Amino acid sequence: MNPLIRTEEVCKTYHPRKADATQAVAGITMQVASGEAVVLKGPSGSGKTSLLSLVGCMTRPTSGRVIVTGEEVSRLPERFLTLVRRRTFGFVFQQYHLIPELSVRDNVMLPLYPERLSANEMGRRVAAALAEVELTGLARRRVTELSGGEQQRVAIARALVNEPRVLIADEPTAHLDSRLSTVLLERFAALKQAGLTLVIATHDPQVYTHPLVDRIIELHDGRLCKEGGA
Amino acid sequence: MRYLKILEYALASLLRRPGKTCAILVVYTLMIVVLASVLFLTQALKTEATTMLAGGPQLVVQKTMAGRHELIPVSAVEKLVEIPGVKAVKPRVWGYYYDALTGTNYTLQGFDTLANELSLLNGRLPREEGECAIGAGVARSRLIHLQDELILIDYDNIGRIFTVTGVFVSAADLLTQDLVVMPEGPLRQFFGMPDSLATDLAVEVYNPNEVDTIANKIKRSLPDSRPITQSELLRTYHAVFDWRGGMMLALFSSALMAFCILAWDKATGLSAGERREIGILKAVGWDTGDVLLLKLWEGLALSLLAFLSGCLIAFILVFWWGTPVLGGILRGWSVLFPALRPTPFIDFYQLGTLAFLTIIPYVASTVIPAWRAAVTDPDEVMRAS
Repeated sequence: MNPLIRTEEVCKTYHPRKADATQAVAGITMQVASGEAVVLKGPSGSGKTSLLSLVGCMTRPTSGRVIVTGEEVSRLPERFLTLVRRRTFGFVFQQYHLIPELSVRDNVMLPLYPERLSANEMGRRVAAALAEVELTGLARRRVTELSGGEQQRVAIARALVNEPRVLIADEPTAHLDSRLSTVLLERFAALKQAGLTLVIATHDPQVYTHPLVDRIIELHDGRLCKEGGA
Repeated sequence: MRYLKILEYALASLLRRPGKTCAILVVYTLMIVVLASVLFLTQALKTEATTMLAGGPQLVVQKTMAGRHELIPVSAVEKLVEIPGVKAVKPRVWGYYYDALTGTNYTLQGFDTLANELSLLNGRLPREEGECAIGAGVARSRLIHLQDELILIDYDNIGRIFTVTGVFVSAADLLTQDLVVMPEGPLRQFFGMPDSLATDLAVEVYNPNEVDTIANKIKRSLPDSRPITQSELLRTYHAVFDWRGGMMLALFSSALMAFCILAWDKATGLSAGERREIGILKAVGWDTGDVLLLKLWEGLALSLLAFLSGCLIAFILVFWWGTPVLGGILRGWSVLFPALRPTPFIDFYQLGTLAFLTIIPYVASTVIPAWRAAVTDPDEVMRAS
């Protein structure tokens, strides 16, 4: 079976020509199958977020290859890379990265603007995504008026609105208490059940010990140090 | 569809930052008001001058003594009509009158010398002694209307009463605003001017292309005269108004400088919030082109709104309110000239140039920093914020 995502000896160095050059990812080879839930585990600074960015086409590798749905994306022109990112991935960031001045509905709608969709279709998709995270009643509220847990649900709805194949989440429980973390993981489990592939970066045991996780990839200093079933 | 959706987002984005948007809009609009007012007024005055001169004689001959304008003997007419190419020569009687009552300057013209194309707003032209027709500016400054009396002090310091038989209207306001017209005889009496002298001579020629040649012949025939062609007058008017307009633009260059500083400030960087927003948009799937389109719409919407508002306000200031400040400087008559409302005229080429010089730099200053942020990987933009 062809993996949905594969990296081959992928490296990422920030500011490569400067004195403060930092190698965040150092030659990682890994793969993620369709429908799988994979956790990238490791302490802070181990390269989890950088690897997520590489896998999710948010940045290009300094060397090595990233292959998504059988196509090497690391050398794609920016426009096509963006297209792959928009059509294939949905992102839930650690800091949520919502636009504070916008309403819940407008934040969720953001990924749809570049698509050739009618206003009706955009509205339908936003409504569906908000229903998925049970936020329909808060659609017109500004995101700054919401609690942390609600803001994260907005971020999830935004990640789902383009109907992606892969959901990428960076430290999704970092700002949640234990109860909300459980609720979130149940939601992730439901999404996985619906066929979504999950790639989650975390160092929270509550996440990587959850039954939804199929495989754990452990990182240390930008290198893959252990890989195995949950 | 995609363009419209991003335009909608851009407009909403401007409304989300009302303080910043309003501040830029006010500065930008003020700058356009100043620049457009000068351009409108300069162009309107030049157009008025052109219209005014188009109705005047092709050639005017004045007598000079010691380089100063003198009254010319009417007998010179006979010499001039003999010059080949000259169709007709008409002595003109006119002069200036300072009205101490209102502190304004009037132009008094003999009826025979007045160009026939002037039309009356209402009433009729004066026919006999004790009657006059006046310009709208005179009527306003003296608060008089048709059939009212106008009292003027003659050369002998005697007050003379004239009945207003008509009020002028003309496409060339510059020509009629300060005008008082009466029959030639009474005007000579008023100025104490002998019948043998005239203010100047209006010369009509058969072939307009030969005006310069005929002017040279007149100069040879009457060495103490100064022939002035219509095109010379027009060039002088245009040069004077252009010079004054240029001076004003130079004075207002501080406004332009302030705008440049604003644009430079925008061009040299984005706020952390703007960088973060671009990072988010890229992360959720907008490509560089989409972000640039968003910033282009934002810049265009703001600059077009400011430009159109500025031009509209300038138009109202110049053509509706009569340019309370700029008018005096550009016309150069200061308080001695009755209030002027220039005939609306817009040079779209100049307006286009103004639009080019203000909208393009502003849009560029909006798009360039956004482009610098948008070409960076969204990952880096978001880490930076």
